[in-house]
Amino acid sequence: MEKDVVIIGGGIAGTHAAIELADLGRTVAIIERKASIGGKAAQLGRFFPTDDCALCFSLCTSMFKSRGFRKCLYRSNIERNPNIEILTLSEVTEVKGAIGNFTIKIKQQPRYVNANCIGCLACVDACPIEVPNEFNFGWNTRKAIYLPFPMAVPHWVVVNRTDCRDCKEECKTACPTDAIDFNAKAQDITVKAKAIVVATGFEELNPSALREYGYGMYANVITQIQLARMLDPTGPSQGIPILPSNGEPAKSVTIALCVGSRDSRYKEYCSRICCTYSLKHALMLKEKGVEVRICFMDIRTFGEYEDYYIRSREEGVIFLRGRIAGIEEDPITKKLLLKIENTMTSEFMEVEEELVVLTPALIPADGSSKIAEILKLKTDENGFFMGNEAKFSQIETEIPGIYIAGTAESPKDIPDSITQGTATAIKINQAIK
Amino acid sequence: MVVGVVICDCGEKLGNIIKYDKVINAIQELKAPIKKISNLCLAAGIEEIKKFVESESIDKLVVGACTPKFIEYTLRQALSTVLEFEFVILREHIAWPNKAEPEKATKKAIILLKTAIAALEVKAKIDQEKYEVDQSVLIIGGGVAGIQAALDLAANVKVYLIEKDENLGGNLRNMGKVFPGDFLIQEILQDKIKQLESNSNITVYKNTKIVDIYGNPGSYEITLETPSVNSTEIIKTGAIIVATGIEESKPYHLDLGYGKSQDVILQTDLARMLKDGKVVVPSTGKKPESVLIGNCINCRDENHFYCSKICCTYSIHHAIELIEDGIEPIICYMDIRTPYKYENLYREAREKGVTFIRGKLQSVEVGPNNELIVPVENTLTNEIYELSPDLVVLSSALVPAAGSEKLAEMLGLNLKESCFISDLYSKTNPSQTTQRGIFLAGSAFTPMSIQESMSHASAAAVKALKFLREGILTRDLLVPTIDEDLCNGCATCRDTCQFNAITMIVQTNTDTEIVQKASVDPTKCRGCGTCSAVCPTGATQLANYQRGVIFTKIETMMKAIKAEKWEEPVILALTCEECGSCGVDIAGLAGFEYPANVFTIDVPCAGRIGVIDILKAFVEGADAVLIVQCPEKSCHYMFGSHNANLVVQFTKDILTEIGFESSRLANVEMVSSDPDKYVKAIQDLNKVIEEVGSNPNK
Ligand code: SF4
Ligand code: SF4
Ligand code: SF4
Ligand code: SF4
Repeated sequence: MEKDVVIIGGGIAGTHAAIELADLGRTVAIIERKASIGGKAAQLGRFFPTDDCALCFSLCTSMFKSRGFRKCLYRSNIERNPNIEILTLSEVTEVKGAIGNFTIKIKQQPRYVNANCIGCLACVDACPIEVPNEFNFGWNTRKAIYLPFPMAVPHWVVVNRTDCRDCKEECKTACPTDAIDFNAKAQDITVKAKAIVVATGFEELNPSALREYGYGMYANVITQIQLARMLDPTGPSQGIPILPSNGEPAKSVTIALCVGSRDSRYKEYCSRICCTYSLKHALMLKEKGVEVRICFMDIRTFGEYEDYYIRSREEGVIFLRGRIAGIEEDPITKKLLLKIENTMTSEFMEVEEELVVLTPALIPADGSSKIAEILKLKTDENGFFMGNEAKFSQIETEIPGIYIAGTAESPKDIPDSITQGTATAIKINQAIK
Repeated sequence: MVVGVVICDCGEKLGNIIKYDKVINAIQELKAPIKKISNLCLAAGIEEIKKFVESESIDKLVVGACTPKFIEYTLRQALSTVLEFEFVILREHIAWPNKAEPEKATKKAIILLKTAIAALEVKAKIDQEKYEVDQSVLIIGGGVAGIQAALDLAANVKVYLIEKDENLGGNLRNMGKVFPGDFLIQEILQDKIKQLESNSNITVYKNTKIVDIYGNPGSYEITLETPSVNSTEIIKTGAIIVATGIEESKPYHLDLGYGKSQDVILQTDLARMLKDGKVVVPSTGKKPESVLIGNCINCRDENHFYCSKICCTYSIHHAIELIEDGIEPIICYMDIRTPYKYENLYREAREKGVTFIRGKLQSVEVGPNNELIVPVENTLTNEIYELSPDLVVLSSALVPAAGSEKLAEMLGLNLKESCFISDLYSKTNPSQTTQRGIFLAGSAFTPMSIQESMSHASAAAVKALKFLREGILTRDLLVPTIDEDLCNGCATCRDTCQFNAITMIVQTNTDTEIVQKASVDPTKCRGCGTCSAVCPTGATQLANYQRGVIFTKIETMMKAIKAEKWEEPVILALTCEECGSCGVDIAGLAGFEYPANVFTIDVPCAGRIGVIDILKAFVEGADAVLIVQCPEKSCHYMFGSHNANLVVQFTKDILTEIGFESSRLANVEMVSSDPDKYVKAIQDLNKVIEEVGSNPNK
């Protein structure tokens, strides 16, 4: 396969790079590990600064001409763009060559469902196997054959073959278009490309290492992305924040900021966007009548996001300058006892709480160190990819023909990710013939 | 004119719910050619439709299948002979949410298909017009963002760069070392300026300002004035990038000694001294022993609500430079906002001995001998100190550069609450303004670091280049027409349209009486239809969504409902095609089930819905009307949803006035991922109808 550009990562930044390059007449391939593009935004549901869907994309103007400015992922028609090819369940294994002439080797795992899938979901109804849905942290179930989420693109179901047990391939019988093929094998794909965009994204640090919070031990200690799943109306609890211990609606929540960030024991840096999305969540919780307390060091709602801080105070969110020093769980009621050090007054206080939401440090997505190795690309001490310092650029790297965009470079919000994704398009357009 | 119908049963799976044979019979009664297929979205299905369209000589096509968000693009590409389409969403809007009620689902499908056929009969064919765009870009502002945008664009198009100063570089010119890595920014800047000046595609105008802007997107005429050489020039350009940047506000009005004592200075002044390698107390000319830095001055307060974003970082960077020079810095702050690796700088500053006091500076007194006395309250410990630094440096709010407000007005751009220039939609379109053909680069939008400005400028360059290449195509956006005989010159439409697409043209008729008539500029119009909703005489009509079309839909729908002997109450939903209709899609895709008695009519934007459209629905017998719209702040057309809210309120008042229950009218603001709100709105309206009974007009 020959393309002008290969984009590693189909999240917000990578997808925007693809859209803009396609509009400039370049052919691109998006290499995505998951079964659908959309990245972390798919799980986050809502995002500041507009508090609406995280899966909102700018318009591919070469397809839709002057109509509209932005569209939801599922109706962006990105998968039908003649200049864009999406390779899901795919990982880059080897890269050779230089600008103008890269050879990228890709391993694509089988989906067991081909392009004949019309999304009728008959197979899903037919499938007898139900397993915990990892997209929603196991708070609901999915079938062994499933659509990753309602807006998924490509809009085809996928089979997790390891889930299939003692089944007579009922899905295959149910499928009207013969789209299911259990003989599919993993494939090696080679793409020749002139330039590469690295947009591998971020993930939350797993906070179980920070023992004082009891994450992983106590059911009612969760992370921000887990809360985001709860707040999604199409999520496991239909938009209601619940206590994982018993499924009851939560009446009060404590949000702990800087969990593992700004902490010399873990990540020394500040994860930049978590203050703002915590406040976005606080406001959403308040709207649902939930009491919210926030333990913080500094509130970093930079720029015009200050508005979130102002509104949160107006709405009665309680701000407590301090860190949670320890959490104890009542083994019977599953209620949590928080020991909070108020750094304003240097006093310790103990409060009872139902649900604790941790705001973990944001770290490079799993697998980015491998990409760094394959591309011989420089990362900083935290594993985020580095721009070309001599050029003072965040998006060009030291290797000509390789660009970075979005949270692969450092934690950032959606507008900044989109800006970077968009910006790579002009650099590439200039650099390649 | 043949209107044909294709319906798809999604691999026969929808057939369990919707009885397709009944549907086919009902449509055949109307003598419309109809075809059922099972795989419309696959290549084979498209081929079948092509043959059907050819053999039946179909001019306009009703498609009953899954949501058009999946299939419309492919169908329009494949069926170029079809003049117009209407889509009935059998899968996500009917079959899936009403799977428990197959009989109702079948009736609903028939009703909506009949409505679509009738609508196509009255929809006129729209001609396509393309407006070419002049292949050049004018960039306003020669700071780092303007320079970057110019360099990025010059490979492809002609660029004019306008700078009001005698030098390029903007704020960067004052800076010495910058974070990260103690960069000598001057070298980078000079290098960029060199590239710029040697590029034959870029014309730089220094000492120049814009005095007039004329024309429309794609072909502007801009009058430039360069007083230093006494010249005026008019240049033609296709697109404009605003890169006017920021400046530090001057807090004369605060009780901080600024303007009273020479020794109270701003960060920019300190940056200049640091760059020149000599920090002195202005009044004495001596090196200071101690410097007090006050952060968040004039911002995060009633003067400017926002945070200036970058001052924490540079104030700390400056403090480190001071302490390394043997000067003792103290920083008074509210929160320290050093994102990502700038946190390292914060740590380094503390390690090196910079003192941080949490508490914003409230006052600086100037003593009899010009000494500075500063009371500081540490809000962490509640202690109050009185400090007497040699020099006070204020991190004062960063505000839009002088003159940008006037420029925005000239360009017809909106300002945000912060007075920075508003973008189209900050989440996905941060470098596009509300006006087509005008783009934003760097801190003119919001305070940004140097690197962020550069990326933002490159993004603006992408958007501008695409605009130049693609031109403006009117077929896809459907602009309104104005019937001059009906237009009474009230200018309501002009005042409503935030895209400034309507102007009033003065005409002199035979009696030499002066009249004005509205005129739509298709290069600016976005096709929301709000103008037609507010026009009191019906002169403004949005193509394909004219009053006639909407009325036909309402009438046909209500007739078909009667014909199908629908017994339940009827909720007529007017849904915007953006988040409204998509939210209904998602409700289906996500497996929500809700009452079947809701019948939708799409409009491009809720702004298109006028009082008369709602009243029409009640006159025709709808028991309730639901408006489904984007939240005001997420409106895809900026002001359409706001207008819809006004229309709903006004219509409710009218209904109350005439003694008709206003509770029958409701609206729901939702984004696509709020399908629950749609479901709840339907349930609520059903309760209302239960209470107030059915519409007496039925
Ligand atoms: S695989 Fe077959 S049965 Fe499953 S959704 Fe796709 S088309 Fe339908
Ligand atoms: S953004 Fe806020 S919560 Fe996140 S690491 Fe920085 S200071 Fe902590
Ligand atoms: S000093 Fe810091 S907190 Fe204050 S406005 Fe500047 S960046 Fe924001
Ligand atoms: S349709 Fe919308 S954008 Fe166009 S003129 Fe009317 S109000 Fe303005």
